This record gives sequence, structure tokens and C-alpha cells, in this order.
Amino acid sequence: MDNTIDAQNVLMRVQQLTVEFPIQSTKIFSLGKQNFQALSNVSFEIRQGVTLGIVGESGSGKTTLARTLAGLIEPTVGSVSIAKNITPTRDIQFVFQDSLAALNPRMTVEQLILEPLDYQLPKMDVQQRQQKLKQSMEQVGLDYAQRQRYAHEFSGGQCQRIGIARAMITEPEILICDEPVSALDVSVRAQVINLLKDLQSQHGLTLIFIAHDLSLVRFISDEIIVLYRGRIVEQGHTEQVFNHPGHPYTRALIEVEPRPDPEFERQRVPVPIRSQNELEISELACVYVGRCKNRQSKCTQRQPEQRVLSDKQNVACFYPLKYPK
Amino acid sequence: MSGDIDSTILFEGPVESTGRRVWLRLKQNRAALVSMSLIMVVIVAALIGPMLSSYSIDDIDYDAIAVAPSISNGHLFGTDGLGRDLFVRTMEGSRISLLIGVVATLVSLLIGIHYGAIAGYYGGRVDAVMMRIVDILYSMPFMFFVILLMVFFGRNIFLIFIAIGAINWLDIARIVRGQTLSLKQQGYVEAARIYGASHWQIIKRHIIPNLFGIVIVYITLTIPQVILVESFLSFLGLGIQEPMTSLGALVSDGAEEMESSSWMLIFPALFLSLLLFCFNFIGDGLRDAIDPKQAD
Repeated sequence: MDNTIDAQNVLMRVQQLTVEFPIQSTKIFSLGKQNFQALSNVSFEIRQGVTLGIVGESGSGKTTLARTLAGLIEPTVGSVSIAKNITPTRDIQFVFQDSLAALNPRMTVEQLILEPLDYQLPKMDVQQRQQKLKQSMEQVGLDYAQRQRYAHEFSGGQCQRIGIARAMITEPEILICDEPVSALDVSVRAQVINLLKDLQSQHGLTLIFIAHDLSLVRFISDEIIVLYRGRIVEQGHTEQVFNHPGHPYTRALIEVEPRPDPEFERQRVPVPIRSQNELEISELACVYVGRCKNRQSKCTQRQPEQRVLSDKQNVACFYPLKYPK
Repeated sequence: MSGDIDSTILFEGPVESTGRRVWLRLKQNRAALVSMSLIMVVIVAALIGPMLSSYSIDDIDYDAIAVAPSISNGHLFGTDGLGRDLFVRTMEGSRISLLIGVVATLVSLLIGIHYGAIAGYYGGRVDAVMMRIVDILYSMPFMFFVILLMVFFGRNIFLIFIAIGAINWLDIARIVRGQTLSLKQQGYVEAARIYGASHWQIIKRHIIPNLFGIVIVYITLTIPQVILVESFLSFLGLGIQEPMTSLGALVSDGAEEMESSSWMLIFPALFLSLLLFCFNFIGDGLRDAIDPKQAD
């Protein structure tokens, strides 16, 4: 992450990012190493103050992408560049899905929240640290009086608040949230989401929000990236993508999303999802071809490049869906 | 670090260190507390007991050979078959047994924790090579090793420390390595990496404190075990040499005479079991105090 960028407002630029993991062979005497591509050729930009939602089903590479952006995984190919004024460990912070597991059980809330300061600003004096602690605990809605307690003494929602307070203590520019609410129940979910939104408006944060809950992503994000098997199949402004999805996968995702409307749900026709093994798929084919309803011969021959659908939307499909004007 | 920033603070009081917290919790555990006082008593008795008696460890009282305990002749625990005062010998024996138990355990901890933590934290090839070395050492017969040491370097109490410590660290290394492997996968280790912690900071803050619980439990298992191994060696004539003695040596001597003179077995055996029990209770208490999650 040593590349820096000059363009206005762009905090982070991801270019042709590919991440591969070696596959452990079960055979003892295997020849050659096999790799699994968790992400392939992913490119996008993040501008200041924007919330970027990343959606996709399980195994689509969402978490790999988040971890790569946080610097935990080295890209195999491609690069993640950041703006000049950004220090990775201080200005890019992370909120975890499993908030309790991300908190050391032997540390008090005070020690947990102040932990990043120990690494980033070890010389800060005690008074200042306490001031920051109090401020950040109150900011996320925790009681400062409870600072001597351990993480397991708090509820799931409170643990996530501790995690957010810890991430915010270094006053970051970018907050990467990896499914921050999927382990919480619905009422707490809304509170945490609103907290993130409040923090964003108060501090001008840039949020990268990863989730599989589409309605949540639609609510919180300005821009959206749809991942399918490690590739970006569609990206653009949230409303544009939700109202006029260009990729058949995006539309399928939106269609299967439950709606709070019993009439609609009763009349819902289940969408048959084609199984992956229905036809022989060449390595070069479009990743979605096995499940695509609109596939044509071209789709089995090569992977479509991303193309501009409108000024607010890019899609990686040869035959994007069309809508009457 | 008192919270005098704002007058609205509800929770006042000194900010506690981890050690203080552990102590406060430990104080709640009655069995551990009683055990600690008993061990303190034994330690004090072992240190100053022999000085209070008019006999020394190898004084032979020809007027009182194998006599039962009595206050009148000054032999509180009686005498052994050679007329040596058993009170003095039991105290000396406790001292030696405690010393061997603690020193040999510390030696094996020192080696085992470092070895295991390095193997577990770095993983991969480093781990594989280091743990195969442990496997090879494991396969060496313990008695053979001890006899070899004795033959080469002569009988020496420090050799016993080294021999026991050198065998015991293998267990600790394996346990610590396994624990480290699972600890380094924890979310909070990953979080610390994102917050910019170095390897050393992660090991110091997140790995070692979380190893404490298991290591403490292991210490309490190891100290009594070492005391027993030492008595085994003494029994075979490879351990402590006369006129020096240990609890193990005293018990094995007493066992031979137990039908005619039961006191020769009862007193050393009492002290030995007292020590073993107390260490186990303290270990239980410490584990609960250190791991607040498990105790609740």
C-alpha cells in the first residue's frame, strides 16, 4: 500500500486487484501448486465521505476484499493505493462481524478501546487518554462508569459499540465494516446502523460497508458493488442499481430479498436457481453463465469486461437488462 | 490514574492492575486461601524448624533409636532406625522437595513457554522442525537419561533439577504451542494487527496473558509431579544422597518400617500429601481468578 494518489477526493483506489489462496492438496505427492482465486480483477475508487456498500452471496469474496483493504492480505496481482494524507494503520480502521471474538477476554473496556493508541500514539499522557476514552465511550452510547468491565459482561450490541469506539479512537478517515450487524438481532441492528450513520455525518467518515442484507445496504450506502465469485458484476449508484439492475445476478439478488408485504410474499413465485453443473463451462466463460437465464453462446466463450451502462452504473455483462423509458 | 476529569463519574476508585484484580478474586476462594497459608507455614517451618531443634540432620541419638514421638526426650516426630531426629529430617526433606519442585518447574516453564510460543506463533516449517525435535526428545527413555547424567557428572542436586526440567519442558512446549496456534487465529489478534501492533506487542499483550490460565494449571500439576519423580529417583538411589534427604526419600524409608514404627511413615507422608493437596487447590483458585470468563 505504498502507492499514493493525487486525484481530488479519492481516498483509496483499487486497481486490477487479484487475490489467490493456495489450495491444500489432499494428496501427499502432488505435483504443482493449485490456487483458488478469491478475487479477480477488482477495480474501484472510494471518494471521501461516501458510503460504499459491498454485497454478494457467501463465498463471493466480500470478506477477502475487506481484509485486503485493511492490509491483512497481500494482493497477488494489482494494487490498493491510498491518498497521500492517509496513514494506513491509523486512518483505516475495521469493525468486525464477530465483535466479541475481536475483543481480548482478559482486557477491560478501557484497555480495549485505548489499545490502538498504545501502538499509534504511545506517548499520549494519562489525562488525555482518559479524556479520549470518555469521549469515545459516550459517542457510541456506552457508560463511562463501566470502563473497568470485561467484554463478556456486555451484550452483543454493546460489544459492537466497544468495537466501534476502538476503531474510532484514532480518528480514522475510512471505516471498513465487515458485516457489522449480521450477528445482532433486528432491534439492535438498527441502533448500530444509526450509530454508524451518525458517526459518519459528525466526522465526515468514509464507510466501506459489507453485508449480505440488501435492504440494509440500500439504506446506508451511496454507492454499491455487487460481487459474484470474486468478480465485480455490477457497480454504481445505489438507487440506480436497485431500481434498474443491469446484471441478471443483481436482479436475482433483489428479487429473492424478502419484502415486508404479506400479499406480495404469498404470491411470490420462487425463482429457480440453475445449478452450476448443468453444462460444461470453460474456464474462460462468464462467471455467472451457469446460473444465467439470458445466456447466449458468447457468454460461454469469454468473460465480459465491465462496461458503462450509464454515468451512474457499470456492468460486466454482454447483454445487460433493459428497461422501458 | 484516578478519574478526576469530570465530577459526574459514578464509578470512583483506583484503576486496578491485572495482578491486583487476580488477587482480589483469589481472596474469595477459601480453599486456595487456606492452602496458601498452609504452604506458607510449611515453608517457614522448613526454613527455621531445623534451627529450633537441638539436633541436626545427621546427629545420631544413641539413647533413642527408633523411638516414638514424645515431648520429654525432645524428638517431636520420633527418631528413625539410626536414631536421627525425624522432625529435623522432615523439615529438611520438605525444604529440598519444595526446592526441587519449584526450581525444576521454573526451568521447564522457561524453556517450554518460549519454545512452544515461537513454534506456534511462526507456524509452518519452523513449527514442524521444532516439534519434531520435541518428538525425538520424547522418545528418549527418562531413566536412561538420568543414569547417563549421573555417570558423567557424578551425583549432584543440580543435576536432578536439570534432568527433571529437561524432560518436563517437552510437555509444556507442546501445550503452549497448541494454545498459541489457536490464540493467533483469534479475532483480537487480527484486530491488533490492523491497529498496527508489532509481533512482539501481539505476543506480549494477547498471546502470553491468554496462556497464563493453562500454564498455571500446568504448574500445579507439575510441582507435585516433580516432587514425586524426585522421590522415585531417591528410592532408586539416584536422587538425594544421605545424610541429605527429601520427603520422597523419607517416605520410602518409612514405608519399610511402617509395621513396627508407623511414625517414620506418617509424618513425612503427611507433609508430602499436604503439599500436593495445597498446590492443587491453589492452582484451581488461580485459574479461576485469572480467567474471569471461566469463573462466572
